[in-house]
Amino acid sequence: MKREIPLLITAITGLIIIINYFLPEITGGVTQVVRTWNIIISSFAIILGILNLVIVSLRKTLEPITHLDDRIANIVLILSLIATIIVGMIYGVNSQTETSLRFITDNRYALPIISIELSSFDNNPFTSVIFYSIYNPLSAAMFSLLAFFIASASYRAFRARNLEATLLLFAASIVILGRVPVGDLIFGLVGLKISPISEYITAVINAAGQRAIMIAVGIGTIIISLKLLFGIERSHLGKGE
Amino acid sequence: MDLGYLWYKIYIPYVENKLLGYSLFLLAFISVVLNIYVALVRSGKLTSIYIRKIPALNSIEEAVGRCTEMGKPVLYIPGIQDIDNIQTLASLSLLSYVSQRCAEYETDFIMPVSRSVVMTVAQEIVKESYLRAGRSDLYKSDMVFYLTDDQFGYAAGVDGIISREKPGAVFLIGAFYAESLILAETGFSVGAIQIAGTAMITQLPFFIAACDYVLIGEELFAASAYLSRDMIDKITLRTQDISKALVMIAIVIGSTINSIYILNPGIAKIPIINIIHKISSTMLLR
Amino acid sequence: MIIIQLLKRITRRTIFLIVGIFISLGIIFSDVEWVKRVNLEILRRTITPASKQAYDFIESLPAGTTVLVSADYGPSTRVEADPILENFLKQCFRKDINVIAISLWPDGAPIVATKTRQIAKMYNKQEDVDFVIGGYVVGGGVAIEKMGVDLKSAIPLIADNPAPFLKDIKTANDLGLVFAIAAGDTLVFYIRILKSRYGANVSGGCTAVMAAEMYPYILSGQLIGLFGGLKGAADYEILVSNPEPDQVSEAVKYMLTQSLIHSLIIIFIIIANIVFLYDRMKIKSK
Repeated sequence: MKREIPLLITAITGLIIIINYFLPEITGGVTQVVRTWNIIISSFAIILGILNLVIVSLRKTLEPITHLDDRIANIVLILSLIATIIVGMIYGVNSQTETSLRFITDNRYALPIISIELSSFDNNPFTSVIFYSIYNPLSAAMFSLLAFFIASASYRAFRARNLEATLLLFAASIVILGRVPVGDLIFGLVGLKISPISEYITAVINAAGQRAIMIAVGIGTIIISLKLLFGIERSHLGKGE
Repeated sequence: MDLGYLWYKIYIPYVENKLLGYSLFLLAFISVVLNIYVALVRSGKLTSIYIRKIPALNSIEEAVGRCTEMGKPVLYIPGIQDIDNIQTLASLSLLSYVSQRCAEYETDFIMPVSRSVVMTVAQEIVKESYLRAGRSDLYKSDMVFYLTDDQFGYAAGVDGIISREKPGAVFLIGAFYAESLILAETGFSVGAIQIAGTAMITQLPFFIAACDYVLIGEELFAASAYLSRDMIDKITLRTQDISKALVMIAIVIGSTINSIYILNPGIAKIPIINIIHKISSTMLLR
Repeated sequence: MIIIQLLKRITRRTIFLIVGIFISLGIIFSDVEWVKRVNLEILRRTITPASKQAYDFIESLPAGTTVLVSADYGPSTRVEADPILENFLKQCFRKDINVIAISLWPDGAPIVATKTRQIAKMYNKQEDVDFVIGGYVVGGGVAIEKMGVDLKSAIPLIADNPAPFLKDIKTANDLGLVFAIAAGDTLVFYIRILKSRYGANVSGGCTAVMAAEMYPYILSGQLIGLFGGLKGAADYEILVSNPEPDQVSEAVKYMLTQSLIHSLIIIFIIIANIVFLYDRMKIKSK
């Protein structure tokens, strides 16, 4: 029973969505309900995740075998989680921009000069401190690691090992240079324009390969979905071999 | 309800969107082929099929074995998408195989997850696998744990885990975005064997550059069937190939006839070809 | 020989250090007058066709049309995505196009709200009259699916909005354009659901990493042009405001950093191949 009920739920909801795709005018209402459930369930699931995160981190922090650096990481995690939740609860997530007039007195001259300055600042510590001053730069820093890793990965990967690798090497070099002004600047010296070649590689050769994978992936997706609907695929429910 | 009105409601979407009919045809075709094969297997008429070797899947055992020898844990990342993504489901199918190997070899298993629903499902799968391997004593509930839904927050968390725990094998299987290379390069830097698999086309080059083995696109979906000993599972691969053949034939015929039509419109008057031309030209979007 | 030995010693750390130095140099010197001029001059001559196509389509929309802009990115990709959003809003407000601004990512909501209000102020546009802010829309693909049937139920924050232009908007099909700036899979969802199923016009921008994935959709006509990464953003800025060297914003300025890093990567590739070929020749001669 433990297996059959999930399979039945999968089959019924899956069929509702598929039937709706092909008969949209008739089954619209039922599907809307299923979709709303989906949104509600996924919103509530976050609580489950946070609880698990807190429990696992607390356990790791308190366990005597945990390494010191691991322990510090877990403490930082719990503290920042609590801080974010509390500040967010108190101040809300919308920025409260306040515009104010300030009188500025300049005493450098014989007579003080008074000027009026219009300034606006965000009053909400959630958006101004947590979102813009902490979360914003941290996320950007993680994403920018990509630049470093792309350089080191391409240093290792692009080598003229055989004919295919050499072709890949040249195609990649043309695209890398063609996407930036310097490529046209360098090739402009010998009267060549590299960006159209780069565009051709992306729009024709690349797109052809992409389509092949996309179509194969699309068919693979349909088949896996059908396997789920027919109950053939059960390994995600922990089926034995 | 009036029958004519009902028919109108069924019919009208197909007039508005001609592609809907083709989708229905493809779905029906695949379902029929799949069911024919399942019937053939069940009646015992089909007992074996040829499947080409997929090196990435054959290397799973080797990777887990290496971790055992070195006394290092196995790290499994199921992508950053939720359970409704088919790649996550494919990854979870593979998870049961990988975690069972870990249980058999008594290797530590770590799985940080970025979606809480995926976490619940994955915990269940890993638990079952340990039970099946007869090592439920080794299973711990915090083997699978939630980190964060945030893309780069998750990447940072996993990078931290990789550099602290130094896993011997890293599995990056599922749907990935820009964090793919960040994870794979960190895994490379600690010298782990890396097995990746994704259908995200733009992330494939990154994985190919930084990982030892890669499941490319549909290979990911074929993985659970490939590793399964059940013939009904395996037969879905044959269905996939036949469906691909159908699409390939349609592409070749359609583009040939459309190209000839551009050069010589007279072709549309020849019987049979005019029907194919009509079908293939409606598939072109303007 | 000494040089080869030296080149062989390049490790990941050396590469990271050099990349770091070049990025810093790029940012420091991006404000130099002649650099900006040269950048701008070359960029003007090499506008990507996909960017031009998207710009032309938006330009062809009549005044009073309503468009939906979905800024589905977080702070991590702001450098690439922000200029695309800014220029899109500028083009819309300049042409008196009404805007519904939303984000399918929770951390994109404050960004899109702030940016829209900021740009609107420049063009004297009133909130809830010329534009509305829908904030964070929960549900991802499911929410997009809902937009195709009932836009206002998908975006609860605009359901009771008094803005006059919202009166005639029932579904996504009533919009002139759906413009998604994506750091994840949302643009593909908009294409697959709103374009393919409901027939809405979809255009957008994405991070450079994803741009290659979008080309099949542009060629099939499902996606009307694309602003890909910082290059797309720079193209857009030139198309919208055709700035003088002293007026250019980050998108154009940071093309210098990109130029430097791209050239650096080419140099690294050349070095790697010199070392590789030298080693191979040595093995052969033995």
